Amino acid sequence: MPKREKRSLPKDGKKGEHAPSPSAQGKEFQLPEDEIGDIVDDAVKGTEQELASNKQTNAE
Amino acid sequence: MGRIIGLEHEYGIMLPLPNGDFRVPHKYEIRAVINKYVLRNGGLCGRDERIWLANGGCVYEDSGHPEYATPECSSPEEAVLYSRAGDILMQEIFPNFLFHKNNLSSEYAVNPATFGCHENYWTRFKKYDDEEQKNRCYELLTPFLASRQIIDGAGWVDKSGEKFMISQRAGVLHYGQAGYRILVSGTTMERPVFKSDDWITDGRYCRARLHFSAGDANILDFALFLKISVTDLVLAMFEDGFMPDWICHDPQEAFGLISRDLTYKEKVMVLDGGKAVSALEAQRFYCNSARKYLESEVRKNSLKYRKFKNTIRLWSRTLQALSKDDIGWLVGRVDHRTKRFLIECDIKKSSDPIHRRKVDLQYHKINRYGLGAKVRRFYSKTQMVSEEEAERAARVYPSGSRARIRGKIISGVLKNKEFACLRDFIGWNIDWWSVACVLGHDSISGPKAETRWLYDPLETRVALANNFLKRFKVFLKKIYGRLA
Repeated sequence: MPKREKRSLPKDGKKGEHAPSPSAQGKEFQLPEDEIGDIVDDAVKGTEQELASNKQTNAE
Repeated sequence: MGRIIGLEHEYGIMLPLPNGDFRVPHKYEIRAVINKYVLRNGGLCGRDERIWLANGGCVYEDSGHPEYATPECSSPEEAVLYSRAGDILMQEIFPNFLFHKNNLSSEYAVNPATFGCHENYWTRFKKYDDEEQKNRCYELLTPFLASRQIIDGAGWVDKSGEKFMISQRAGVLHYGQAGYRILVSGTTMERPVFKSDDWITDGRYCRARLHFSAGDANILDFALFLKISVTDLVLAMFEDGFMPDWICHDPQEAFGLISRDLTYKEKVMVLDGGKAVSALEAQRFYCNSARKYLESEVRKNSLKYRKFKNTIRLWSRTLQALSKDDIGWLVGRVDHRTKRFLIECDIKKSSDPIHRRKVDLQYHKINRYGLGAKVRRFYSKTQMVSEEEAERAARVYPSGSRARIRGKIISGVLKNKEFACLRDFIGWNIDWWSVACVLGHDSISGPKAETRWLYDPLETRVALANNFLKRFKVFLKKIYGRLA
């Protein structure tokens, strides 16, 4: 089995490509609301039947 | 060595029909599909019709839901990784089905049908048969878990589409007829916070598998990671006698009221003694206690110290963001706030309250077209696990627990070409603590050809798996010789 890479914890505002600073994340990743609205609208289009049929049973 | 952690996810499942309709499959259909996966060489069928996978986890049917149990993980990061692997495995085992990684049914008559996301933590106790200590543990953890939902809640839109709640599970927790103050049960008929299971002793210490069933299933990696990390830290405080002495007066009421408070600041959790606190206050209190514990009890610059220091940093940053409703931080990290943000954006386009319920449901759809998967891709820099890593974790076992031995045995058997030809003559008796191959398919009482016991969750010696596989090859040759 190949050697597993050491996983680093997500560090915010410090270093590493996974963790830009909080304020930068706020600007960089905050999609315009209109765009998010379009994405959501697209995802839920035509899902009335899925919602109506979602009659799961009790589990565990 | 980190704490052994395991997660169990029960998925909502639906089958699309040719006419555009959907239906919930019967449990026997789910079992049949799982058994087909065995024939596709996806895993080995153990007792109770569970399929044991090459990554050391298992998949099975539970009360009409497919359930995936992660292998034993030795860190919160690993638990997140193998949880995401479960989403991929579900889609592979059930290719034509729809999955929702949530906890409540959309349509219900009086009470919503609920299914769980359970957490398991191996915890150290001082004495084995000390009932008082066990009950004390449950009492002390309850206010923490009740307030933790502001971090891990997945959000829920009620049937009218008008009300939003933080948590899906909080409103359905109850302790049935027993009327206990502590939400503990050993049965599946109630909806407890804790399930009492697996108390074993290893000499000086008693280790117990604490089983929590109050948490929500998370779509975002950060929420799941923080949920597990802070719980790991709080359990360490309990083990070292540093747990704050807060006890909830009415746990069921506390869970429900906190879930309805979208400011997180209303003092709705009443403690013994009459003091009332908000969820945010409670979480801040535990976070500050954890900080004091870390500075006074944990050796500086040890791995444990660095790990918990980072947990406290992310925990306090998230609590700060929740107190100011900082959506720049929270969206893409905390599920209930992300879902509420999506709904708020959607409200500007559509005033239909049913639309909000659709957003709620689609958020938990785990295939690549689901809203949850799209949210993960848009906020990919706040996610911890890439698709490639999750795909790999679906096939490869972890290295820090007995899952390594189990996974290596299962992988080795599945790759064995002679086994593929002799599959019909061999049965398996596999559980978390043993792997046994059996001649014939009577896995309970049939003659066991080879057995590997895995009592210690921290056992990682690969030689144990290699020995098993060597003897298994000899066993196959004997069967082959008899048939030839």
